[in-house]
Amino acid sequence: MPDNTKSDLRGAAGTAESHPNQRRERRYPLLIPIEVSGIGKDGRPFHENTVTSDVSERGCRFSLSKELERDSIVAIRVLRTLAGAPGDSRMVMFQIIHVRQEPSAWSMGAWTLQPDVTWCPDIPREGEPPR
Amino acid sequence: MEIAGFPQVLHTRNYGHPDVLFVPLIQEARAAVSFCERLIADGETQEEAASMSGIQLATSFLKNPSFSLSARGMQEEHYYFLDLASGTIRMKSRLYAEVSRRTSMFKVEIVGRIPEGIYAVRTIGESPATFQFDHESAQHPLFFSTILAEECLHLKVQHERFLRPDMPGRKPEPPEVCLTVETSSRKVPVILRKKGEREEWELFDAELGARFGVLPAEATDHLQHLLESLSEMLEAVAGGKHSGPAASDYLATAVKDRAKS
Repeated sequence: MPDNTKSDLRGAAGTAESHPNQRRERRYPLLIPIEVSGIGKDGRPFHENTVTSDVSERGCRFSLSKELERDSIVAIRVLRTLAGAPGDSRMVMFQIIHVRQEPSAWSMGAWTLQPDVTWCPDIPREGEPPR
Repeated sequence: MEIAGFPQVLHTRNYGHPDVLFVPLIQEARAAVSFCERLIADGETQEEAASMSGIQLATSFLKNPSFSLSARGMQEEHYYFLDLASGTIRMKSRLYAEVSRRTSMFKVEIVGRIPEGIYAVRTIGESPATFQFDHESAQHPLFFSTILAEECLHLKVQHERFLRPDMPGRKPEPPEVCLTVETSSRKVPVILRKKGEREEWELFDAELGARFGVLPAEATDHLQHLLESLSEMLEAVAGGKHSGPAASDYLATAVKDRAKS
């Protein structure tokens, strides 16, 4: 098969239809330490520790020192709960749905690809007050 | 397209046919397998390396707006499963071959190792058959919709001739025995094939077509006895001497007699 097929398959834009809800659910301003792992724009893997600025049942917002592309996939691991207990060692995959440049970092919103998994134990269930 | 350990599947409406997707997918998957191996060499755990390489592969396809993420469970005409940690691909597809204005449809399963680029094809259905192709062949334009589909049809015709061995014009073919062997850990479908006119039987993996080796002489004797007994039994059944349960008694007796002799 000619090489141009490969380039045909790698177009320009992303996949807006894959996350149509854009986090309309309730968000909580919780600062939860997380580790974000993914592939940078340079194609190299990275792991960066950061904290969330808000969280919801299916998404979160956080800042990174490096820019990621919209629609790229990252794995997020909760390092510690708000009570200081060690987080779940499991990585949960998220898709980056918006990227904004800030003075000293890149702010990103992400949407979970594993909605059946409770990615962060600190998020109150519906009807519960925040912990 | 499903990637082992990745929580969602990649879906495409336009690019799913193997003529379009197979080769680019293998090229991307080879890069992802090497990436996975590099990460493991750099000290990542296998699980994390597989996740990261899955992320890399999925992200590369999501750059194309025709690909999107979706939940598992949809029935697709073309389904690809990639295991980057083991470097394998499994694919299920439907192919169509047209001969004399009649179209035949084949469900096929393709399995193979991504780095080596050797793939085994198994047709699923009434006339199952297996054969192999390599990455170079797959690069031929329309390989899946023409060459592979026609090969499936050719094998189907061969299989039907096998079921009707007295068909005129059929060349005599060396005898073949297909069976599933149960080992301590798995079940392996194998083919025993007689090597030309010699009294040697070769053992092949029925799924991958790989040759295991030559059957030992002692086992060859047993196999020869069994085939002779089966031949006698079939002749007897055709002559009306035996049928139904009595036929199996006959076979058991014939095998015992041969073993004694």
